[in-house]
Amino acid sequence: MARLLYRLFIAAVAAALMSSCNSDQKILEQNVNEIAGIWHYAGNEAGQPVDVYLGFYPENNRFDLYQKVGEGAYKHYTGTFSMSLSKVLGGKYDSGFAWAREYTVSRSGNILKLSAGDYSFEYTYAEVIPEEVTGHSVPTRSDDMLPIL
Amino acid sequence: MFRYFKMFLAVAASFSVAACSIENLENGSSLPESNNAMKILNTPEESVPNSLLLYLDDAKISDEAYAAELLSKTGGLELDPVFPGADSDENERKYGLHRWYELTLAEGVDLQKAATILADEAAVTRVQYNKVMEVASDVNVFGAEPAPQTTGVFNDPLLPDQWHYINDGKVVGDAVAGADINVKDAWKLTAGDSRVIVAVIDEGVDFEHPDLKDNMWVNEAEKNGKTGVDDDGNGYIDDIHGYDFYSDTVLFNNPKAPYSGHGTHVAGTVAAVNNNGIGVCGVAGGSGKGDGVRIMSCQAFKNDAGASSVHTAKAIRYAAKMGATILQCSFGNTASYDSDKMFREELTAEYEALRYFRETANSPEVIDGGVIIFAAGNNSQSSSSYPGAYNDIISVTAFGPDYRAAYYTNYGPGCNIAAPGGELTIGGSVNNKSGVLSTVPVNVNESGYGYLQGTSMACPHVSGIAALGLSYLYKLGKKMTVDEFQALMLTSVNDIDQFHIGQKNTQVGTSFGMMALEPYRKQLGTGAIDTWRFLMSLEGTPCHLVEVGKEQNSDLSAYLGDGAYNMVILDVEMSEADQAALGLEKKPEVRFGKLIINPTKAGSAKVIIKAIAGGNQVGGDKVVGGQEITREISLVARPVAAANGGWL
Repeated sequence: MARLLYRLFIAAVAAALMSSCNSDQKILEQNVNEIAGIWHYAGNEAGQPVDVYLGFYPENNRFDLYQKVGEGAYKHYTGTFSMSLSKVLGGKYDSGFAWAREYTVSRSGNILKLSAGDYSFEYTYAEVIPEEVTGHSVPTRSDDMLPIL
Repeated sequence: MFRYFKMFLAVAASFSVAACSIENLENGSSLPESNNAMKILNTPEESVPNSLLLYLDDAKISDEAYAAELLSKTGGLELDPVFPGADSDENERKYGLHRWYELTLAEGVDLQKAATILADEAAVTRVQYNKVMEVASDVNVFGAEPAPQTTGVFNDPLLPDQWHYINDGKVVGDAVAGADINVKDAWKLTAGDSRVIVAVIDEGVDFEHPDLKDNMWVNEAEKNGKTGVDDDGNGYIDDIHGYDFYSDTVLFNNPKAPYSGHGTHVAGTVAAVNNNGIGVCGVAGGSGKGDGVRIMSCQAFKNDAGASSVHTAKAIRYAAKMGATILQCSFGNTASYDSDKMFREELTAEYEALRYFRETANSPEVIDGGVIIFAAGNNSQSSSSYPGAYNDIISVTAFGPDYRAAYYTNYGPGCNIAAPGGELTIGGSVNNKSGVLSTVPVNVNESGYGYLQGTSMACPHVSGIAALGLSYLYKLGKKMTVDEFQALMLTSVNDIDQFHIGQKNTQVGTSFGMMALEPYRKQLGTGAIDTWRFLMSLEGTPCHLVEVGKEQNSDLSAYLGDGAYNMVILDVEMSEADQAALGLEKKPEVRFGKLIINPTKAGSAKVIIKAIAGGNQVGGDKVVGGQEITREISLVARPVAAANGGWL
């Protein structure tokens, strides 16, 4: 009898855990889907015009970042991102460098807000990254090679 | 005037030689004493046996009596200005081009003795032996058959075989995808501009080649003038697409002439006509709408014969005078020089012609002078040949489709940048398709196309990219100095050092064997040239982001090239006002391509980085070395920035 009760207890815990896992998975998916797509920010930084396009692709947890500060071509960065249950977004560039910060995510309609402490930016949803951006960009190094002395 | 002068002197000389005692000028007799040996700039090895260059005092220019006297004293037959017409051009006079004369000696006259006699003349300031140069490629052409079109850009059927433009890694077993000049997307921005003229100093270009003729430079005055007449008065008759300085005659296009194909091959890489449904593509060959850059053929070589100092100096000066902005030179001196000073002092006529080209702005809307590009040389030696090694001339090394140094390429001091030169022997067997594919005259290969290898083939890739760069500046409406333009080109590179580990199987000496790759590391220049990055850099230099409140090593490879970690930094400058704007306690440094900085305030500032493009020391009057380049980068310090300057 005790053995039966024990088995029932284990099964109940497992079911609860599975349910919890499924529920966490669902939340994660929801969180990630919240940022999926292309986001645009245009503004000014230290007197220099800034134009940034961010693309988040949940299917492989990869991102594209096109940034231009000042004149010239866009710098194109790629890498991977991860999202926590509590909507904290982190990432790593393909060059091996980590993002400078982790960001708390909040979305309201077509606006995505990424905050790190007192620092936050609002991005507007965009259908695509325009061709004049992708077609005027320079890829950044894809791996962080060590100096060969 | 000068042709008359030449005839007069020839007649006068024949009397003089007969009348004067010339036995002491013949081979084998004793050298006359000279107190003016310092006037003799170089030595007679590997020079033309019956020719000397003189630099005359201004007062003796066009003095026919004095010219006759010189002929008489030396056993000379002719005394001709090296640069006809320079006397009446104020700009050319500034470079002293009007003072250079070529003395042609009678057969049997001792060259050294003639030089010594000339050096004793008060009105002869310098005497230079007429050195011979060599082309930098193995002239061994293999024909090409069209392949199915798969590139998705231009419709030229041989483009898929031009791995040096678009390398999918399949051309040979050891090929590396991307070991090319990354031009495919660049062609969407510009494929050329007919206002840009590239002078090809080489063997003559087959100007009737169907894949070149539409991109040949045309001298309209001569084209529309009378045959046999110097219609534009530039001293050269019927120079419609250029001139043959080797034979001092009109460029001719005789399919049966003994051309090696070198000049035509080089020209095709620069600007074979693109998108015309035949043959190959050129780097700056246009989009099929008449917008390719123009090729000016300045013939200084003939088949296997080397060009002399006179031939090349004349050709270079002609290029500058007739409107070229890029000088494509796939050749070099066989002699070695210890420094720029030595080259300058020994080959002064070429040097002055090069300086004249460099400082002549034939595309003044986009650049303030000319860009000179030379092959590094094919002797597998550990320094660039001259003139390429000269400080502000770009010297091009070669890699194969495996992104590794080709076995023949020169490397080391004086080399500035690497480009595809082909290598037929990768993997230990001969495969023609790993050479560079371009145009050749039909007498060389009946298809009109063929594969060659050499730094001669790498060089026109860089010339073509420079031509694309100028074309893009026209499109952007921007203007640069030559120094700025070259600095951007030399930092628009991909890292090539990472591939130089271990060995590769290729030609070693005269047989196949394993070639060590380590000696080439950091020795091929700043890296492998990347057309796309270059065009992007011409658009402007974006700001680099750094983070406030943190000491960081911020990656500058986007500005200094992917090989930045190996680049020698000479200086990092930032004004005191800018340091204050970022709240810096000390001036930033750059190590291994990373900016070491600790801003304490948000703001913007400019940092000026001086670095060496190629090698560990700057070339100049003491050593052979790389070019000093300057990059100015705007920094923006903000609360958030990744170590690679990323926004997030």
